[in-house]
Amino acid sequence: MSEAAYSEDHIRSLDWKEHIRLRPGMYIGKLGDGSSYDDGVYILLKEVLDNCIDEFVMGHGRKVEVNINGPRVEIRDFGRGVPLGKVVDVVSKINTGAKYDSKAFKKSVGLNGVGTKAVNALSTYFRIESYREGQMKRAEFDRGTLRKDEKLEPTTEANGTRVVFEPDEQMFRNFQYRDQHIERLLWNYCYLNTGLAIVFNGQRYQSKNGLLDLLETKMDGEPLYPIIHLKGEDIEVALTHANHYGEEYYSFVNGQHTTQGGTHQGAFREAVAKTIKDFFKKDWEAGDVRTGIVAAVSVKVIEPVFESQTKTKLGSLEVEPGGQSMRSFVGDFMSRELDNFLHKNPQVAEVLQGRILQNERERKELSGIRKLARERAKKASLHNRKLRDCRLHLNDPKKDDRKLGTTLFITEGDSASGSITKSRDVNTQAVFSLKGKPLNCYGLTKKVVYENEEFNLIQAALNIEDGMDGLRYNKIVIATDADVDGMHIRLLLMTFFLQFFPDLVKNDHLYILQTPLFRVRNKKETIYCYSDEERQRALIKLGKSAEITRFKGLGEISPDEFKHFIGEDIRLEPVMITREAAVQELLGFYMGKNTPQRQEFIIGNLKVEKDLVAEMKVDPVKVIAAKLDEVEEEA
Amino acid sequence: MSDENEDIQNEQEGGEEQASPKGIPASGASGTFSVSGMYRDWFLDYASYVILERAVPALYDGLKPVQRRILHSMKDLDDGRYNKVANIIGHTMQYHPHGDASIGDALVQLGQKDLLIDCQGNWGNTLTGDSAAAPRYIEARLSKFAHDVVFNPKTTEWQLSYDGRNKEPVFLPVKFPLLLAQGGEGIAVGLSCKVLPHNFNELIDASIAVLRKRSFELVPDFPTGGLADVSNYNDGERGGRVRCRARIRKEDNKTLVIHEIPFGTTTSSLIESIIKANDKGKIKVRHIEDNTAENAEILAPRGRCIAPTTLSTFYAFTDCEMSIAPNAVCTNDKPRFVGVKLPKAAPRTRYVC
Repeated sequence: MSEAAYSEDHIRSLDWKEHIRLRPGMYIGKLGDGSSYDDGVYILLKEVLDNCIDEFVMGHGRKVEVNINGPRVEIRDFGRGVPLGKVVDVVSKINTGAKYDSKAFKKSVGLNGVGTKAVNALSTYFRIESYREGQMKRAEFDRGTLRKDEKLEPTTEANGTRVVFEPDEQMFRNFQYRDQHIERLLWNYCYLNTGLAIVFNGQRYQSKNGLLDLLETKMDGEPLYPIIHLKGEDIEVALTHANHYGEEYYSFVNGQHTTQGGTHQGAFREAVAKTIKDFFKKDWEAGDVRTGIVAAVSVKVIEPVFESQTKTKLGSLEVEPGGQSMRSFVGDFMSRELDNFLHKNPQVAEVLQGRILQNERERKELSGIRKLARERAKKASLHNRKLRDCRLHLNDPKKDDRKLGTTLFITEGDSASGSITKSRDVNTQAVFSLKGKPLNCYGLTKKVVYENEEFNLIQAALNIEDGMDGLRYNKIVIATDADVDGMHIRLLLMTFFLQFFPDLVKNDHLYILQTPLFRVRNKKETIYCYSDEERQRALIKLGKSAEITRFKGLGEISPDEFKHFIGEDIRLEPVMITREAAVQELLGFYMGKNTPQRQEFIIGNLKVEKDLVAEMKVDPVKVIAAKLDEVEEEA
Repeated sequence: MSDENEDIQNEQEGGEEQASPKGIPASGASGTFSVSGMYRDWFLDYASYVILERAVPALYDGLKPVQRRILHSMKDLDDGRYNKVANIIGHTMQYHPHGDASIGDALVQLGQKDLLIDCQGNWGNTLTGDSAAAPRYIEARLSKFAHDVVFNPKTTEWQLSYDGRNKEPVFLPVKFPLLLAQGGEGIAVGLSCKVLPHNFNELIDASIAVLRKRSFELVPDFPTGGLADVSNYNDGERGGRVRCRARIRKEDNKTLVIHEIPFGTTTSSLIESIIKANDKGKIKVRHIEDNTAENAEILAPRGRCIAPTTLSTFYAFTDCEMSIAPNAVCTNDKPRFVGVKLPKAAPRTRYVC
């Protein structure tokens, strides 16, 4: 029996900032490096912005300025400003705030009086300035510790608050703010707060029509009928159908984007199908009614309950504690408003019916193939022979923090699957190996997912035949060689997912694994380089005698080396659909039939890689030295 | 109109491209890529490579990289005796960082052209489509013609191989319009190359004509024989079209004999197409038989007598007539759409001799 000492001395009370830094997950979800939209650095941004939005909601300050320069974030709102005497307290005293008893704030996400304090504690630099009626108060912090507490000064600035912070590198290792994620965050604020203007690094974001604007920008391709936009008290809905497979939802609770849906989204899905079926008086399958739907739902709930720490899935069964159920709240609204709308707009109803009948037809066509698919699925459920699975899965009912780390590596041939299998963490990392190049599925119908064995097995491995709910891995990582055929396979796989499972990409599950291009080593040290620049830096560090190996295939990397590349320092490039990207058009151009335009495009943009090869073959060190000289001269 | 727009767009995009440092692979760790950026970069990487380094022959020597490397390594190994093809493949891998199967296939194809390589063993049959024996059985050495025409170390430009351990030629100093003699085919991304074969003697006459600055006419000539309509040949440039027909004779009142087949077919594929047409009821044959030996011979006895229209139905509904679209593309840093006149090729010959 070990005599583990356990006395009064071992009971500790943590200082608020110590606690935040020790358990950041409780406050901001996960840490991350900024490559994923729900990484901590964005939550910090959000916590500060939420306060600005609250001011806007109260009718103060229609504009918010956001400037991000490298790691430094500056946010300025034009609200009423924090009362000058309490500026230090609101950002450094836990459980301090103004929103505990006001009714207007009941339907807000934050509420707990922790937000800005967490930002403060997790930043190496934090400054708050409040302007009120010609007076200004400034305070500066370092990881939550007060550094400067300045006296009141006169100012000419307009009323409002300015917060400047730099996230702590120790907590957010190698983080980098990505514009795509920030834009997405800001747009969501704009869509949910019509009239609000956010100026981000000089660019203005504003939405006039709320969720209608959101759908218009998120959709690629034309809607089949003009977007239906319905508003009620504490609920706003926009929906239409488009020519794609799957269902696409953007759901919000009190301004919080619930990317994983929840009870409100579930109620909405049910209500849409029921209302439409009742309107047409047909007993269609709900799936046929919803295939191709694109919709946005925003609800306001008092004291929302979330299923996860990051507040991405709503769990509230009622709109307010002891009040109406979520299901009937959404259901009543839809069966009243959507039904009215369809009666008033018979031409929309007609288009809608056309789409539903088409869905029904396609589904019945598929049912023949489904028989084959079922046999395959049976086989795959017994043993998916392309898959080496891991122990944990995203859809496991058991709670486990590691579930978010579940990853499926899709590898090219045998070149990498062996090494990854050997060096992976078997709890969370699974491997799926492809044989040769997958089929180009652009322009094919969903039949191919059943006919092509490889695609069928991918679908089975991911468990996404019936939608994203059952997804078994949080990250799907395409791991191909860094050579041109590897690039081609990446495109072919991305085409497969974009074509048949766009939701997977839209919800940020798809990544590309970056593997090093070079290994530079001397007798003492080995450096892996992911780009030409890194190679040059490594060469300068290790000196002339260093040996350079260029990795062309993953097969050249041994399992113990691979451990570094898929372990803690894994480098992933997220596959993200930006607002501008019209995906169908993109796929048509690159993966569709050859056109004279494409031929000209290729010839006009041909990449000749000769330079690099020539350089490497001369004397790399000399070339680099010469290059450095050039750079210095220019400077 | 849309073409113009596309051009402008391309130019703009091209401009952006130059801003990034040269040679850094598209997936550089710099971060923030969108789907469209990924498609653009990786697609161009792949397309450029396939065009420049895989599927399209070079303008200067008419060889694809794999062919050039095979010839170079055969020259390396040359001691006058035959070498096992498997050994040649292994040796070629010093220069060609790809799979052994692709090198083997390329070598067999070169050998089947019967110009540069002296073959020993079963190299397959271009008439029937039979494949060659395994690389460990068959042997090869460079032909006399190849020794004379393809190599000259003094006029060869050299570069280091992919791993920096060996030298390989940038181009081979070929003193003969090799590509036009052998023909060549390659499907790249966004474009494909199809050069038809030409007659050896006619090519020499044409080369003399180029050097004497006389005009000349050059049309394809097929090793499989058959008839061809070359009135639309268009000098082999894209847009042209050549129709090839099998030679068919009447053996007796009820039997047709195909004794020369059109370019691009084998007796097996031709029989396949006849059976298919028969199944569809387009033509009627009772039985079909492959009597190919040194020359092609397909017997097609019919239940009924041969009517005057029978032949045309064969041409219309089977591969007895093939329409070929030549499209001569060569790389010279960029793909060039060229014709058989190649005004530059012959003068270069003077330099490489």
